[in-house]
Amino acid sequence: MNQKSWGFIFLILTTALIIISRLFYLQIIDREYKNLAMRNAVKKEYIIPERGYIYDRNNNLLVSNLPVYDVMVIPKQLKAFDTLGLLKYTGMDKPALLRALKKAKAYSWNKASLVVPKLYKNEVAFLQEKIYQFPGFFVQRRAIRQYHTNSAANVLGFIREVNEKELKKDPFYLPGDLIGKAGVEKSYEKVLRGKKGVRYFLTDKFNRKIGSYKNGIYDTLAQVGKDLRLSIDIKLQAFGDSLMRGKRGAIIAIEPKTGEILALVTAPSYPPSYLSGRNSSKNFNKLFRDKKNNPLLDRGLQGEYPPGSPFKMLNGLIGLQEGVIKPQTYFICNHGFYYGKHNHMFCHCGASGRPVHLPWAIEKSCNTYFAKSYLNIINHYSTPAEGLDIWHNYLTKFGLGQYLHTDLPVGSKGFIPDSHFYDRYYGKSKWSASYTISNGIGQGEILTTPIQLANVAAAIANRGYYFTPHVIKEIDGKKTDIDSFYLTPKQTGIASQNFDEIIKGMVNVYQKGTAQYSRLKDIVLAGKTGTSENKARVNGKIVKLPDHSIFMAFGPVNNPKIAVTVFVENGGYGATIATPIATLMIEKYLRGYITRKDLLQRVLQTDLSKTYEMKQDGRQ
Amino acid sequence: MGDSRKVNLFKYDWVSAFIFNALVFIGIVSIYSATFKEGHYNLLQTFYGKQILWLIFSYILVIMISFVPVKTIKNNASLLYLIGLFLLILVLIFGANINGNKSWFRLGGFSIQPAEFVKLFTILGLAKLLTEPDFKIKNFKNLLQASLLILVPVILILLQPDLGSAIIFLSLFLVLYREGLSIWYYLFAILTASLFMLTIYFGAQKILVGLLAFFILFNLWTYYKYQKNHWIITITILMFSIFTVLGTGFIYKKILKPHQRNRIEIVLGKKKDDKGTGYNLKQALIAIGSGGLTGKGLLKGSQTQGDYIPEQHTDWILTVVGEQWGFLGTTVVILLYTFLLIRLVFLAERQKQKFARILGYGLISILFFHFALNVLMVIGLFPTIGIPLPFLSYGGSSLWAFTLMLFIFLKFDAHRIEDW
Repeated sequence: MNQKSWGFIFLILTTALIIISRLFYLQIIDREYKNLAMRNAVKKEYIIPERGYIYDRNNNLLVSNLPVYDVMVIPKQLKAFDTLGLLKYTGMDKPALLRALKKAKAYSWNKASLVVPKLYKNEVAFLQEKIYQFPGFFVQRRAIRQYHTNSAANVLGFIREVNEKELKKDPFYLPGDLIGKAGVEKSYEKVLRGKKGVRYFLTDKFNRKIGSYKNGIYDTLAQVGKDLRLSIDIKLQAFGDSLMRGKRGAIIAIEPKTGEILALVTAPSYPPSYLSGRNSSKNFNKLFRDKKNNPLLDRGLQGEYPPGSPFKMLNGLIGLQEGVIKPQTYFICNHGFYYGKHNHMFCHCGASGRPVHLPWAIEKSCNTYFAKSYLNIINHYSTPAEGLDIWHNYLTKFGLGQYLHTDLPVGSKGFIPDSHFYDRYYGKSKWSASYTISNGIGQGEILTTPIQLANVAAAIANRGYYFTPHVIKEIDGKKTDIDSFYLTPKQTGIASQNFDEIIKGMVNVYQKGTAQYSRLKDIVLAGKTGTSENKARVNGKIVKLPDHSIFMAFGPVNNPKIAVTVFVENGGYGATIATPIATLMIEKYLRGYITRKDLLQRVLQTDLSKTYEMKQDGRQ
Repeated sequence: MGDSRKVNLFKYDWVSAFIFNALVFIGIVSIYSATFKEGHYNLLQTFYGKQILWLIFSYILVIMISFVPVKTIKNNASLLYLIGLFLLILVLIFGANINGNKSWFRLGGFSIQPAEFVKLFTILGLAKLLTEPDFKIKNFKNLLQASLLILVPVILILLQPDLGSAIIFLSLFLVLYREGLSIWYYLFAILTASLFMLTIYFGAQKILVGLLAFFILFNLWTYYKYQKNHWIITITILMFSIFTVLGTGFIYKKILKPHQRNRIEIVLGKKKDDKGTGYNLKQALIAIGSGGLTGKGLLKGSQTQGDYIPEQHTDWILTVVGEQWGFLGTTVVILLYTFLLIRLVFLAERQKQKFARILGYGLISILFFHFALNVLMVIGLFPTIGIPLPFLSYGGSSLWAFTLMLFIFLKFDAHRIEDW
């Protein structure tokens, strides 16, 4: 062979060697390209499971899911279409359609964008039949919440698309996912949402699916969300709603033996379906902006009010436990008493200088008796600070002055003053028990939420312990997944025999005291009315407004099945409106029907909206 | 030993013919995979169906060639060359304008790229010229004639413009090397090309300073060591180098188009543009690189099936092989080419007739350039230029032209002992 032919062979072999080395590097050594190919072509798609249903304690379905249909568009596939027809089928107007199309094109040429959200089946049926006439448009099914009750919006809550913060916090969520924002939808989100399924797809360069990835060996199935059974009795809840119409306030009903919340009524409220469906965002804004009525405030859990007379039960109990009063202890009440040189506390119990003892004091709500008990508690210790902190400690054990930690996402602490509070206010050791005398009768600095008071009622009914109030009864038909926090009794530190005289007094309230006109035949109840003073700023001046009407009760006394607290803002005396509402609730729950029709009528007809008009701020 | 007109298919070199068929087969399977779509299609609506049709025509061409006496081919070489030039002029006038290039004749539903066939005609013309009785390659006038013969079609093709095909024609200068041209010309060309690339990479300033430093050090060293002076030759080289470096800037900025500059800079690693000009290369590298050792299997390449690589069935066909059959697949293709080229060198060398040998080396040069530049482009070692991979890439013109080139040479080889 010619010498120069070897030059050719050399050139050919060198080139081949270079090429094969490079290929070896690209295909065997460098692993990066495998990842890049995966990132290019393998796309994940999540299958959103159906959200769990919600039932009430009697297995009435409250919340289920409703399929709705979004009209979507892929701009790339658009062709000339019958615009008027589309407008007719979707109920859109032309500018809205044009806006939606412009937005879709700006977002992506190849990916689907929303045109019309949440059409119901009957609305979309005709369009679905004709959709082939509108190339580029398609209908996508998804689910929203469907409500089978008009009550309990505050308990059930609502769901909404996740926001940036939630997306960052939990990798479970992707943009567009729904998440519980309030009520049990929020607190039991992880139970209700289920587990997403994953499907892997191969996609082409336009992000179009071209098949499953490795025949779906990495795919997982979605797991449907678990159902909740709530402790709420929806009939009782709805009944409470009707009683609260035209009023502001709350009704809390608890089963003392378990801490299960039977009804958690807040007024004013709204039907839960108001925040589901096509207008949910608009409606939410409407509710949010209504500062006057503040319908998004759960007054039962968040409203902080001076408890008034029901608080006297606690001072009685602490006094007995501390041994500073005995069932046979008598105090003299002379239309009140002087606790300082010129300081007189008024009392309208009507004892007029006679000595009074505990049950009678409860029955007549004697200020003198409980103020003196309170002073004895505080002065039992070497310094007022020590005594006050002992007193504070008892109340803490009743769940006051702190979050109760119910299984609903909102709450308020309320307020129970301790020595630090008065030290800051008056200066260290510059105050005595009599400075804080209002604490004896549940006024002054003390604030409680209705649920805290209802819990106190349950603790009294149980004679010394309570279960933290909660709305969950079963998860997925079982009790096993319920947080043991709600199934463990909490002790109040008050001996059970100390409740005897208190309960006797509370029974008397019904038999011959302030609540006697709301008495129930055959069912012995125990209760305590409350009237708490409040003021508000009207036209720049502080004005005294009608008192808050409060009632705390439980029954039947020998086997308590229900403990109730009713709070009606500016309702007047406790006996005027709160007491009838509470006993109607108890009767409804225990009997299932109402015997006292005229009482019911009177409550239903009570409308306080005129009073509320005077106030400028919806809060308290 | 027999009549050159006789049908003599069985005397054709079977090794070359086998490799030809293997490559075409791999090509059709790859085209099938690159253009696969779900659904039912008429065979002739699909790219691979059409490629099979072009292959059948190719076989018919092979049979037809076997009937044409080698003498007829040789005698009409000049005419064919002129016809080729004529076609290149015609395409500039009547060619269809596709993406700004006038490279194609459009006849009914078919398109024909004359440049592909002109490759063969130019080889024939070159063989004819170099076998003229008084032709001497070392004679400057004759060298100029040969160069012009190659450069005229190059210029006509640059007018289309089709830079890729024009570069391919330059490979024919390799034939002149075999026929006696000094290697210095080629080293000179390599130096120029290297200087060109180095200037683009480092910038003219650094290169000029480097050249000057090298020039001074080299002369001082030789003077010190051998007491000898190389001033004249080194100054000449230096002047030329400076000229090249300065010319680079001009050619690079004024003559090359922006996308061509981008492609050069991407290969040199000076620029990243995975979404624009560099998209094709990036996706090609992902396809090949993700193939691994044995590949993902037929129709299982996510890059190929996802249509990530534009023009994958034509210029980027090797990416299909790389993704679906991995390193083993690409190596087989590279080795098949290597064997074919070496086999052709061997065949060319065994020719008694200079004409046949030139034909062989013409084929080798063109085939080698096509193969090397296409593959180097696909694996990111050469700037992207639009040339197909012979026998594998989809396209009738390319397949037919290479079939003709290969089998005309094989026919000459089959008749090598005959005295024509």
